[in-house]
Amino acid sequence: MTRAAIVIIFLLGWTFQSFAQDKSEIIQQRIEFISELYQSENIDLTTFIEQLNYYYEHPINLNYTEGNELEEIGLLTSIQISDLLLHRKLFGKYITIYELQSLSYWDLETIELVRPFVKVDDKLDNIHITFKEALEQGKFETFLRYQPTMEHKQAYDNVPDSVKATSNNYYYGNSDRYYSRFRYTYKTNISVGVTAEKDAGEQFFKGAQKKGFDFYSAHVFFKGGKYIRSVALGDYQVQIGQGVTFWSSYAFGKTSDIATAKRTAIPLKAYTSVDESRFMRGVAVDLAYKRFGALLFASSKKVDASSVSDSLYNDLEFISTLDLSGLHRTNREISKMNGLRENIAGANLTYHQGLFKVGLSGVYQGYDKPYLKAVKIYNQFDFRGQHHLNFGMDYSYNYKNVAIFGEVSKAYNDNLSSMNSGWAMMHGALISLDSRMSFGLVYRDYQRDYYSFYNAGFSEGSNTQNERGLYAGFKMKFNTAWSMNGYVDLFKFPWLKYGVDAPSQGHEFLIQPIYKPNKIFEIYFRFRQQVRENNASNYAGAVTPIEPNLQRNYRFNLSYVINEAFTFKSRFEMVTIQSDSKGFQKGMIFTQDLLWKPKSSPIDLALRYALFDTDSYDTRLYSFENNALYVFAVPAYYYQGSRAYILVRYSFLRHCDLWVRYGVFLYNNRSVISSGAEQINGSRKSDLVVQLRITF
Amino acid sequence: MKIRLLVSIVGLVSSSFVFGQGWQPVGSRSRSMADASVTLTDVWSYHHNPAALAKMEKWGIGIAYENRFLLKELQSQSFSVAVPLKKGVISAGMQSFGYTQFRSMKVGMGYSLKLSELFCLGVQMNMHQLRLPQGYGVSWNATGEAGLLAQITPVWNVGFAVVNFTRTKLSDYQEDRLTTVMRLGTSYRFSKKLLVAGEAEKNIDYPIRAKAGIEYLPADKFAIRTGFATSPIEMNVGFGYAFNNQFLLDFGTAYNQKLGWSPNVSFTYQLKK
Repeated sequence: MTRAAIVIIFLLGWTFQSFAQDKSEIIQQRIEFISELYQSENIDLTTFIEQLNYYYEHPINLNYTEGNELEEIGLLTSIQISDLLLHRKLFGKYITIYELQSLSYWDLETIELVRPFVKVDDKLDNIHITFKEALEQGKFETFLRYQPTMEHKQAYDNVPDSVKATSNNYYYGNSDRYYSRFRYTYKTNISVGVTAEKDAGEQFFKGAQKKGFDFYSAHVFFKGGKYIRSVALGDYQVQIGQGVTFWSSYAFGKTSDIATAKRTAIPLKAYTSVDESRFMRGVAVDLAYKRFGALLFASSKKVDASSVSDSLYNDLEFISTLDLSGLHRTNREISKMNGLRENIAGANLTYHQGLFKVGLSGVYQGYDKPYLKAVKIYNQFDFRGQHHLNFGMDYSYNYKNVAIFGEVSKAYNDNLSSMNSGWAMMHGALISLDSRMSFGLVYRDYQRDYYSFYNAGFSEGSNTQNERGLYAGFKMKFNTAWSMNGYVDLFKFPWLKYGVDAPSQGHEFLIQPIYKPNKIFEIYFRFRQQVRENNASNYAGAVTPIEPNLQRNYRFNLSYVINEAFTFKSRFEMVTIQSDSKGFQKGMIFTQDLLWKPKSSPIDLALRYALFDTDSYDTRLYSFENNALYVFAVPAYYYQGSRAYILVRYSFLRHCDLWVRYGVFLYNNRSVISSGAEQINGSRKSDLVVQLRITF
Repeated sequence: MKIRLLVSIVGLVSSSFVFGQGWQPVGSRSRSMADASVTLTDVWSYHHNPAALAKMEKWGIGIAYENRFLLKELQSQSFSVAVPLKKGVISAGMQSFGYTQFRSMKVGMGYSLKLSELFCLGVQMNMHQLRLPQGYGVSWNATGEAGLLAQITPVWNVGFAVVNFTRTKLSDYQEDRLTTVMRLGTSYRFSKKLLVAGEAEKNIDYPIRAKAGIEYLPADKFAIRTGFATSPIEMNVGFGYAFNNQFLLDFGTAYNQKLGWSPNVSFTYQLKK
């Protein structure tokens, strides 16, 4: 054996060994990464976790995959996927996983990243399911969760019902949050589940909630047929193309990872979250025949809305506002409950040949009453009426080291006026300039009168509307230890926006050098600058001028796996904002985490201590917090004070897991927290989560 | 009215862009990479880092043109030539910017020397003419420029250059000096096809600029370039083609969100290696 061969074997051995790490670590890392990107407090990432968990337990067979599943795990660029498929076409089936190292756009790190989710097997997975097998090998999972409100809030004051009936400041229900979920799954092929939730302040088995929980969700889902790829009954999610025409779930915004700029649509998924508005309820089927695919779906559900009667038109009722919060605690919230029926029907026809894919889609969305929100100058191009149509065309194509993708979409409303019938489009490319560097570009142009309710097109704003911009990002690796990510985004909002009384523009850029000499130690630094124009808060004259707001974030992050049991994480982050009318403000947060996960112990622990000091709410900082499985917390830290939490997980009786988490904010110089119904008298705000999972 | 508009445009532009008054980046390759060019070696290094010229092995000559924001008053024409000698490289360059009511011109010569495989240095002297007719007259001044280029690994360089380290005064009766610019940059060559460069530039009168550029050659003779710079935000893109491996045609454009496009082009003759 030559020396080179020995070196190669040694390398392979090393690669392999490093995989023997903690199972859930990669999933955890990915989820942490995702939730920080959203920069929002209440985001439900259940589907992301499920996807990764699922492929962890059912690795993708690289010898049979068409690439779709590899896209779903979100860890690979489309160039790497086409590289893999091309290699298989040229050289035949993979014999070992190590062959991946010979691919030009795969490096060791990528292989490590996907290794837990893929396998190389000569046998085709048997998708023929017998009922007996399904029962025997299926998995039942039950979750029970209890989240009380720890401090007394104004809204829970003990007042007579007569006061509650005339006020919107008091909640009818108790201050606990209950959640329960039951789900049966068989591999990825079958899923049947029920989820029920009651938010804090909502009633339980009385008043407006005679049926118990405030929100119920149920689904029956099948996946894996040759012609019937998947079927959903009940609650489900639909994703089409790049999210410009229709996308019912959440999607990435701009992240430090350019690969996320390209959406990977999973046409049909079971819905298992508790967001009370962003899902479909009805029937859907995804069919396939040779190179063609057809996704058909229909949904009808009630949404919260407040209505107004128009006395001039025979008391015709119309809807003035939609409420997407899903909260039903006060009179006003309860009166909005299920005020409007939303009907959706759509289809997505696809054709693929090799790595070329094209899709045509059409989606109808209608209401049982006209939706006429108050006309303001900034929102005058938004949808108003009762019926709405969107048509779209999406494509993606991989050629050598270039992947292009995009979507063009047109909206129509029922008054057939030129209003609300705009265009939207986005086009992008991901290019592997080298095995160590990739580069991405996304151009988007969404007209001010383009409208679709469920969308997730790549954008700076919160909607796929009124925006034009160019994004460019890169990811490069200098050597085994050093790498760097970054992006630049220039954008314009051609029409007014809420709080911006003129067409505006701005930019954002991010740079992040990473030092990771080995698997156990990582340091990164991140700088992000963002300029957006907003209304000035003090000015002379009758016209509100807009002014640039400059925001800069500096982050230093260190994580160190001390040994098999302990992980140590530190972070320092600072934000500064500056504008002419508000002046200069800053905020900082300093967190220290310690995770203890001994291999053989039934208990693991996560601890945090943090200090924060921000000049205002505007300079708040978000930070991911560890929590019970499927509970997501990325709270905003603001004002001045400390934060601590402890999370304990205890596994017992082979089938049960119990999570208990207690966290507390202690504010300085503050005797009142929040205001109105949510007001707490005191300087302490704490939270408790107790969750039990039973699997068998 | 027209003059006033023009003056205000020039004022706006000069407040956000560094030009005239001593130094302006030159050459389409550099411009397309957002001028993160302090470590790049080609005949245009004359205008970016005199030290980088020390790595020229054969002689080269080039002309370049740029039009800022598509305004006919903001055009610049440049020239540079570099000739390797037995020891060192001798070079000359010229640049002219403006229009009849305002014109700045620089012309000069330089010498660059490779001290070792790892380290080069270069110096330059330029004469600057500033011409404002209508009674203001013409001024002539001399500035000194210097640069260093160091190799950390065969694929990784760092460079430093300073324009007008002499802090030359424009005239005696007022404390008015030609601008001084310092640049510190680095470039990393991933492969024959891919070069990435980054740079910090401090002009004495303006905030520090961060700049980054990429040059990618999908085929031997064809280059695609892009770049980005801050303060003010600028994005760049450009293309290059080498005819017969000796005649290089490079063109591109810079883009500023408020002021728009600035196309540029350069022709370079470089003797075959």
